[in-house]
Amino acid sequence: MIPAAFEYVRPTTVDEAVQAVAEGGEDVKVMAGGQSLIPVMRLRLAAPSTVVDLGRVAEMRGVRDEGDVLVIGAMTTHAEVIADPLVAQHARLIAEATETVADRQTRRRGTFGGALAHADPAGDLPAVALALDAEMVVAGPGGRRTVPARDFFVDYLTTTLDEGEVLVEIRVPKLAGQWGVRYEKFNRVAQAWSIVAVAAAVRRENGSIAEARIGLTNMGPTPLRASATEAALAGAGASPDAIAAAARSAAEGTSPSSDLNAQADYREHLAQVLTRRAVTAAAGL
Amino acid sequence: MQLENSFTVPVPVDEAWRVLLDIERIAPCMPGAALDSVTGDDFTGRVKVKLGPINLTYQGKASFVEKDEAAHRAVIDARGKDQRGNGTAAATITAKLLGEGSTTRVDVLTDLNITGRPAQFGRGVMTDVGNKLLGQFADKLAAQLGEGDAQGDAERASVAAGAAATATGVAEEVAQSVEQTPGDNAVAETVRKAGTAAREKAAAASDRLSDTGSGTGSDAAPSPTDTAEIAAVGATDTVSIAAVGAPDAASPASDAAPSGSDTAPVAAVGRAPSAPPSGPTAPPRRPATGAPPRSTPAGPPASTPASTPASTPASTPAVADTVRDRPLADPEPIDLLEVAGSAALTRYAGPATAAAAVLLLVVLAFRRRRR
Ligand SMILES: Cc1cc2nc3c(=O)[nH]c(=O)nc-3n(C[C@H](O)[C@H](O)[C@H](O)COP(=O)(O)OP(=O)(O)OC[C@H]3O[C@@H](n4cnc5c(N)ncnc54)[C@H](O)[C@@H]3O)c2cc1C
Repeated sequence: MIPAAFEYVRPTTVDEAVQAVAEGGEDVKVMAGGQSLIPVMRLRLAAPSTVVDLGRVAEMRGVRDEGDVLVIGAMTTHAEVIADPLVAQHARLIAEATETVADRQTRRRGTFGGALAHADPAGDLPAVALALDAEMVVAGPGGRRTVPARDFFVDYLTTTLDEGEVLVEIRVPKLAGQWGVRYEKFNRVAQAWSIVAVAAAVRRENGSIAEARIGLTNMGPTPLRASATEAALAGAGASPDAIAAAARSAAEGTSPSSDLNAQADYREHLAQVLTRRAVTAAAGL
Repeated sequence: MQLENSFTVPVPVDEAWRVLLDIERIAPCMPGAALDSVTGDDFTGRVKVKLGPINLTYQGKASFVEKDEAAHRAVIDARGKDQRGNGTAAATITAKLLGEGSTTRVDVLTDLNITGRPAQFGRGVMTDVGNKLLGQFADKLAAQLGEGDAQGDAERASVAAGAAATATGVAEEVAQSVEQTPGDNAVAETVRKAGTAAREKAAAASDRLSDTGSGTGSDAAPSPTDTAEIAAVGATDTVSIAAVGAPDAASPASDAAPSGSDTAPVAAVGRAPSAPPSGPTAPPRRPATGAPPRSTPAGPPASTPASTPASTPASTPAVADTVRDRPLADPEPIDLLEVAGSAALTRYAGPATAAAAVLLLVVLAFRRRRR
């Protein structure tokens, strides 16, 4: 359980970080909170020759308001996200989901950006980023680019981040209008990973549902949107029956895995139930 | 473990046969593979596996052990070692070609044996990774052969890859808890000792039982010697693992356990989706112990009747049962997916130790009084 020897670099700016990654050779790894990386290194499933620790890159930390968009630094820890007043005001869904992540200790170290870059299908934050149509700002040797969440998650533990690229910040559009949100997570033990979870944001207008955005956690190798349910809810009456009917198609187009925690068909069932609950709560019913 | 894949290449069977035997031509199609040398039917090379933060490089040798042109069947024997000493991988790959007019269907059966840490990921992940690699291989090969209409399994494989998530999660939880619960070692040590004692008792009991021969479950009860050995290995291994598992780590066993501490471990086993290995190397489903031999448990709820044998002293079951059931949870390579399930064991390690201590006190007190 002792990691292999590695070089350690601790840059203080994004540019330095990108440069350190470029100079680190083939086996370089970026480290954020280390809550996922260190265990893998300790099991020696990864043995990077160089670890670039982003812990001192101040510009990657914190939340700022840019008008219609909330910008969350990749190195902002889960604990900071939960406590942040801007997040509470404009992106409450993120705070709500982050509260369910791991335990207090892990939340003090683990970061928002790290959780997204790690792209664990059971991770809670990717589905939320997807539901909120967030955008990832990525820095590499060739400069910066912005990737929408729907293109960012490619596969199990895989994102569009190239080797040599660093996730700098996440741009989250503020929800304009009368939105309600809810993160419904199903796990057997408090603080455990999601077996299935549903992130819902619902906009109400004149007693009916004008728009719903639903992100699914752990229903496939990447986070997914429950598009069929979203379509069924658009313009539907904000009634329990309408929501229940729409939630029945929540698992459409998903490809959940079967594992120790749940068989695929059970996950599909969970997706429907949790979607109904999340949308109901988000719609204020 | 066996992996089955098939793909179609857009050329007639004779040409496909020729191409597929041309190692130098097909090796570059294998994702992450590099060929170092080719001598006749033997070749050496490297395969690099990368999955998120996981990074492994296998270096090894392979050779054709069979080339049956008439049946269009080839068998490759490959073995490799992880460069960082993480374990070994050995595979027997049987490829069968079936002409379908202008295309050829290739059925690949891989008998894979992985040891060391990667094996901890359990079958789910390995299957997914295997399928994915082969799917990519097929796509590249088809592209190389002309039109790109190979129907590799890539899509299906990538779709199935989710299972691994849990494994990583577990890896983290396990690794974390090692750090966070320094006291575990002492517990593990105690439990291990208790385990040894219980095992000896169990072995003796099973001796007795198989002597009396109790009709029904005789095939579920392996011979006493076997049991003792397996239990010995299993007990040590698993108990220490249990100590590693975080008490609060995902433990599906917990709510499946209907009655008391001794049931949970079995429930955990019954739930493992990557069914406990069967075949020659698999340990018996249920080592014979102090309990009367039962037929193999059908499922989690049925697996552990709450009543325990009269053949053991009344207060021992807590210890004996907990320890006895553990070997079931983990056949030799530790499967992280199963460790997740048996994390609940940790919770019972404490009570079990406590029960052992209480028992000891009672026995001592009793003896004193008699003296
Ligand atoms: C016990 C435990 C329980 C947990 N439970 C949950 C849970 O219930 N739900 C959940 O969602 N998560 C859970 N997690 C994971 C937690 O959220 C981690 O914090 C997160 O997955 C990784 O964040 P990190 O900052 O620690 O990243 P690290 O571990 O440092 O990095 C993870 C990966 O992302 C890469 N990376 C990190 N930051 C960047 C960046 N800025 N740019 C490019 N690449 C980057 C790293 O190279 C590495 O490959 C749990 C973790 C633990 C230890």
